[in-house]
Amino acid sequence: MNQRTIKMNSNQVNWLIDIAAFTFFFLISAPQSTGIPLHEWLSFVFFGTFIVHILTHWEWITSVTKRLFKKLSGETRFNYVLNFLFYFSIIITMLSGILISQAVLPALGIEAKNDPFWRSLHNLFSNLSLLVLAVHLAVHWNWIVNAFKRYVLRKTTTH
Amino acid sequence: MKITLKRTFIVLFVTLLISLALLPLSQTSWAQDMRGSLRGSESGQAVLGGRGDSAERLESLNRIPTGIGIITGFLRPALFLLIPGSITVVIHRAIKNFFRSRPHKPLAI
Repeated sequence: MNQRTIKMNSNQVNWLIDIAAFTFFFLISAPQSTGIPLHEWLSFVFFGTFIVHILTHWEWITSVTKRLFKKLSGETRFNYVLNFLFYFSIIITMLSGILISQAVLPALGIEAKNDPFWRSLHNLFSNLSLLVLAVHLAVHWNWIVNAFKRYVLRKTTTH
Repeated sequence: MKITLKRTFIVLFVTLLISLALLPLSQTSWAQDMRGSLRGSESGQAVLGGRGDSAERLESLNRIPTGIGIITGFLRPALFLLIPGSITVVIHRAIKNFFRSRPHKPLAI
C-alpha cells in the first residue's frame, strides 16, 4: 500500500495553529450567531489552541522576558506588552464566561450565578481582546500574507 | 518549537494563579457599585419599555438564529477586527518606512 507522508516545518505548524485559533476566536466572538451553548463549548476549544499558540512561541516569550528591562527594540517591547494584554484579557474573558456560564456548568451539574458584574466584565474584555487581536494581526500581517502565499498558493516569497 | 509537559503545566499554572487572583474582584466596592448602576439602568430601561431586561436578552441569545441573523451576528466582530486592524497596518508600515528612509548619522571624525 502506498503511504503518503506529510512533512511540515515549524512555520507551517505555527500557521495552521494560528488559523485554527483565529477561526475559533472569530466564531466565539459572535454568540448572537452561534447561540450560547455552542459559544461556550467552542470557547474551551479556542482556549486549547490559544495555549498551544503560547507554547509554540515559548522561546520568544522567555527570551524577551529575560531581556525586557535591558536593551530591546521598540517593536519587540511593543509586541510583548500587546501579547501580554491579549493573554490577560483572554483570562478575564474566560474566567468571567465560566462564572456566568449557562450551558457548560449546568451540563456538569454546577449552577452558575448570572452576576451582572462578571457579565459586564465579560463584555468589556471580550471587546478589548477583539481590538488587541486586530492590532496583533496587523503587526504580523506581512508574515500572515507570506505564509498564505507559501502554504496555500504554493508560491515562493521573499521577506 | 518544542511543546513539553513541563511548559504546558507552567502556562496552565500561571493562568490558574491569575484567575484565582482575579476572583476576589467581585467582592470589591467597585464591583458593588457596578452591580448597583447596572441594576439601576436595567430597571430604568424596563420601566421605559426598552430591552433592558437581562433575562430577556439572555433568552434571546439562547435561541439559535437562522438566515440573516447568523450573518448580522458576525458583523460586529468582523468590523472590530477590520477597522482597527487596517488602521494599524497603515500606521505600522508608515513607522517602518520612516525608520528605513531615515538617514544614518555620519560617523564622527
